[in-house]
Amino acid sequence: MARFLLRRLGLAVITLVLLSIIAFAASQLLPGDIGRNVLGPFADQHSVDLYNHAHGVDRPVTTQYADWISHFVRGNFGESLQYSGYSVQGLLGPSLLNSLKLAALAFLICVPLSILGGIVAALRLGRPVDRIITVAGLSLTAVPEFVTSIVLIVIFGVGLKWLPVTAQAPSGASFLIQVKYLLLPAMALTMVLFGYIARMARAGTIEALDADYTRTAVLKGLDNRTVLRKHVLRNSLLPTIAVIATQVGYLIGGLVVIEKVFNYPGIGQRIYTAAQNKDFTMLQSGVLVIGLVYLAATLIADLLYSVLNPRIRFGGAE
Amino acid sequence: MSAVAAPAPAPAAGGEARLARRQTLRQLFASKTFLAGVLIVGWWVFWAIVGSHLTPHDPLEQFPDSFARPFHHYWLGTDALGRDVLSRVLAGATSVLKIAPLATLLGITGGTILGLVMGYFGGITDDALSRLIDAVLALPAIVISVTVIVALGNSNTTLIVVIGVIFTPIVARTVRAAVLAERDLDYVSAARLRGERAPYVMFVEILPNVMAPIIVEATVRLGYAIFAVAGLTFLGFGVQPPSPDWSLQIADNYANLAGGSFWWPALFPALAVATLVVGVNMIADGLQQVLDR
Amino acid sequence: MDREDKRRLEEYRSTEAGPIENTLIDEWLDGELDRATFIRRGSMLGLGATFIGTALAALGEAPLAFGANKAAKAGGRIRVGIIPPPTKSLDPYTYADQGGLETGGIAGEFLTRATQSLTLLPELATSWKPNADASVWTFKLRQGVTFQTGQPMTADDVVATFNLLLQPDSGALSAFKGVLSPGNVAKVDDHTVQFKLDTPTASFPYLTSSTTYQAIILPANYVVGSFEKKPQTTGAFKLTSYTPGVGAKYDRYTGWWGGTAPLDGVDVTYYTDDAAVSAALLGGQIDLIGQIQFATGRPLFSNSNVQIFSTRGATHRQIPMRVDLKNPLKDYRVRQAIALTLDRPAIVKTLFAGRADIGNDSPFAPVYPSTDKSVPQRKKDIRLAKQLMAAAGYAKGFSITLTTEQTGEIPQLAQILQRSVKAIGINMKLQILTATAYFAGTQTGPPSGWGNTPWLNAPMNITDWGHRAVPNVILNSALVSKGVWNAAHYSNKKYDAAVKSYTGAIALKDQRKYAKVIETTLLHDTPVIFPYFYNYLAAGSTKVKGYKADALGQVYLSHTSLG
Repeated sequence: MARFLLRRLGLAVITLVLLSIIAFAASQLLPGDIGRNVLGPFADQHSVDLYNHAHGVDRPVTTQYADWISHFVRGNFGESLQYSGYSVQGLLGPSLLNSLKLAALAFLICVPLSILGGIVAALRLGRPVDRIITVAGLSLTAVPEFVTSIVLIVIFGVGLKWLPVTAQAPSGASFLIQVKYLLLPAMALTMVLFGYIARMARAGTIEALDADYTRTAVLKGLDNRTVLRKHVLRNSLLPTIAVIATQVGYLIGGLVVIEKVFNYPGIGQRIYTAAQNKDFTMLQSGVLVIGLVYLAATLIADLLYSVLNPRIRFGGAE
Repeated sequence: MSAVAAPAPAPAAGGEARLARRQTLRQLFASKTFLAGVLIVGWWVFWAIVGSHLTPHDPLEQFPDSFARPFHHYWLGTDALGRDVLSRVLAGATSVLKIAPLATLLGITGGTILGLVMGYFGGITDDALSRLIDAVLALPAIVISVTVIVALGNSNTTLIVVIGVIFTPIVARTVRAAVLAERDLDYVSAARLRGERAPYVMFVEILPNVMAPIIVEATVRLGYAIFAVAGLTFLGFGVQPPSPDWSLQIADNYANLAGGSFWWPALFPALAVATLVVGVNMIADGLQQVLDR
Repeated sequence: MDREDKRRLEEYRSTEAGPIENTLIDEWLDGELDRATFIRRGSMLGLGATFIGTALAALGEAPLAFGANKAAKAGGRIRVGIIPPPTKSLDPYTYADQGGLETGGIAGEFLTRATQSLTLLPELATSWKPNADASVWTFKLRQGVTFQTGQPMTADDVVATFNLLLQPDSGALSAFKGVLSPGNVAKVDDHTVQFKLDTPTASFPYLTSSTTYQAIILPANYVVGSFEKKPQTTGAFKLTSYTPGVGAKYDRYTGWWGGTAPLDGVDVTYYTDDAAVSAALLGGQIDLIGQIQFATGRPLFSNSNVQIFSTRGATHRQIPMRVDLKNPLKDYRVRQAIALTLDRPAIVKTLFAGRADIGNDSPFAPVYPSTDKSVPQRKKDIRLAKQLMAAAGYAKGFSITLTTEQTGEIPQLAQILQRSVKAIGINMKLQILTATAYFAGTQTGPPSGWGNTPWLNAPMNITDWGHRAVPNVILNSALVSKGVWNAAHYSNKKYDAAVKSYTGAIALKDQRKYAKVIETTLLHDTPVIFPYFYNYLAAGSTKVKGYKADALGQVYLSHTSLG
């Protein structure tokens, strides 16, 4: 177990280094320069050049990369290029926290619902319940997320006025109030992900129900509920975990569209704004942070997977 | 979930293969899901080919009647610039059915080659490439896409390339897993003993036997490609105006949904996207049921 | 005319009034100015409210009503949605975007404030006066004003503020270039400041008003970068908290010179999405949106719980066509033809529901008093356009690419333009970039002399231009030979001379004379199409009282109340 973990960690580090290079290269790709973006189109070219020089963006790329990385690993992500005087981590931190809150709520609502839906559909395979769950899931997933979001906003926010239309609660709001504000985007995310996760759970359950060990258990005289709990559930969860892990990346850093529509200051918005304004320092660090979170999530998922499936725990093919 | 069927021997003699294929097709067409999907996608493919030639009005024509309500003179109403929504919805199939399949094809091709190489050679090659793939997959796809599109300039070609490249690692993973299951089988060692070189073994021997999961993956990816285009266009980085592309229509008009009043220019294209994605997924489901035995 | 009023007028004319003021009064007495224009120009020249009232009364006109504060209900915090967010730090002298100016403008104040009719009201200055040829302006400052730090405002602070504004990295440099140089702002005494201009400029006071949004008066010891960290303006609200990209909070400043503002405070949330901000207002989560557009905010216009604040202005779009490339646009007849394909009233109806003035292909917006309105308005005329194209040798049309930015209604304008020119055989391709990419690159130097930035070099483009109180900056920088923002690369000596004369003219009559020359020259050469000048719009719930839209987008809440 320890060797497995160590190996995974080692590989993760290599991946991280590659990730940092890609993140850095990506931000260098952007056209324009921070000076022009900050001073505006009607500013003097000379002033723009001065600003660029003051912020060190005309140094050779290798120097800029080395400088950034050496500070990053020590927890100093540098200063935002567009918001002078604000540290990157000072702005990324709260954004990341916001994203984590939304992701957590979305998870809490979506995952149990989807898994339940998938298992129920598999247990009633071919019957109306199955059809409804499958088709509903499929249709909801098929509608672009910004449409689902705005429809939810119009119905529940503007029409019925049950829930607030933007996701950011006023500062100092209690836990419950924050949840209330996050409910609509969490619902939108649930609709987006339900179909996919439910389908995985359904397929996994079907396979588990068909499997030899299930038949053995039934033959052994175990009642249905025990069979379900001890054998089927565990195996139907396996592919689902893998799927959920891959969604983490999306839930943390890929929610640019949802954050925009619900005006939620998550980390997706932060780095998207950074990409638009060529705020390198923010962009590279933000991308790397999201990558870190994603890798951590997949590591945890792998661990869970191996715990649930002893067959792959001790080395062997991946 | 990349279970591959019991390995069929390397390209069998003509008759047997044809029989197998006919049987597969029969099974496919027996599946109601598959048929429904084919019908829906077929409808949109028809419109993609026919385009604005058969639409009631020119999708680009700006009538003086902007925001005309639907179910009156204009069946689905008009948009902010007075263009007929029905014509735009029908003609909009062209752009998404041009970009998404090409992007998928690019992703599948790249991913297959990569997956074959990684799965077959294993060792250092596999390890190194796997790390690279992990790194790319850890990046927030939307932000990277936006960055690249901004850098390379906004055009349909850039869109296809960006989405195709983003899909490559995901496809590579699936293909790799499938290849791993095939690699140690008899027919592969037989080919190697015969003296065949690596490219031959990969593409002629192994590839046909992993086609099933690749096809399934391709159809699933197609659904995601459509979403990727929609999301990017929504943010302003996808298809360019005045194309009647569905996502562009949604992006241009969805702000007017806020009051619930001017819903038709955004909702009808959204339904079009939804039906297409549902259709593609139904085909994917049907294929998976049949091919993944 | 009342004898007392007449006597006062005569006394003023012979003692206090300089040649400039007298010219104005002559024009007024000769009936060349309407009441609104007289008030506006009078205020610009610093004729105090009392005097203007006298002058009006002297001719039997109704007296002024400068909007005295009715008893407003006190209390409550107003929730404002500002879209888009400021894209950088909040030092006022660097403001270059809507988000920044709106955020700073809630807390900051200026020497003078421009009303919706472009009349200048005293704010931190109580009176101002030009010398004989408007090359030296003397401003008297209001007494008893304190900064939110506690220190009193004196002439030193004003001098320091303007020195900051005249630095090379100031966002306001383009407004002051050629008008005021560093070092020429001097303290005369603790409450008097003098500006020595480079060239006589009758419209100088606008440069110290709220229409020059960087000109917020700050303490002399202001530290760059500290605007968000410490409240230090003179306004009714203190900026107490700011998070970039997220929001800002303001609390009432009890030491405000204007008394007690009705509101307890302001809570600003930044938005990037039109649907989100509209939904927020409709859903009751915010009370006011700083700026809305008809194209993207339709649901707000037909809602009974929403009131629309509107003011005419000179915000516009320019469609420059490069005159120096080896392509069909080089021929002025082709450019005229393109301009003739536009159905301007229909465009204004579609994009703004009529809330815009039609442009006549020159910077002279109908809202400017110096605009010569006798010049005929260009109308859609496809037949004439086709004739011109044929005469230029392009009867079969040609292909061209239009490059522009994704801002507001510009993509829609581009599509309308594309469709319109189809009628004369022009196949126009659209290239719509993000604003960042559109303004990226160098603006000076090779290869064209205007660097390589798209907005100054594309064969044809559409650029957004903000409102300005007078057209001088646009006349110069956008169309004069080698002007810094001359995207059409236009060069015409006759035009250059006319602009020089216009800038130097003091009397309205003379200004109009040169305006006519400029307008007709531009109509003939058509280097740039000015399709419209649209109204500035804001929206708020019906609870908001005492709020007026500002042509520049200032969010001025000092007299606003909730209910």
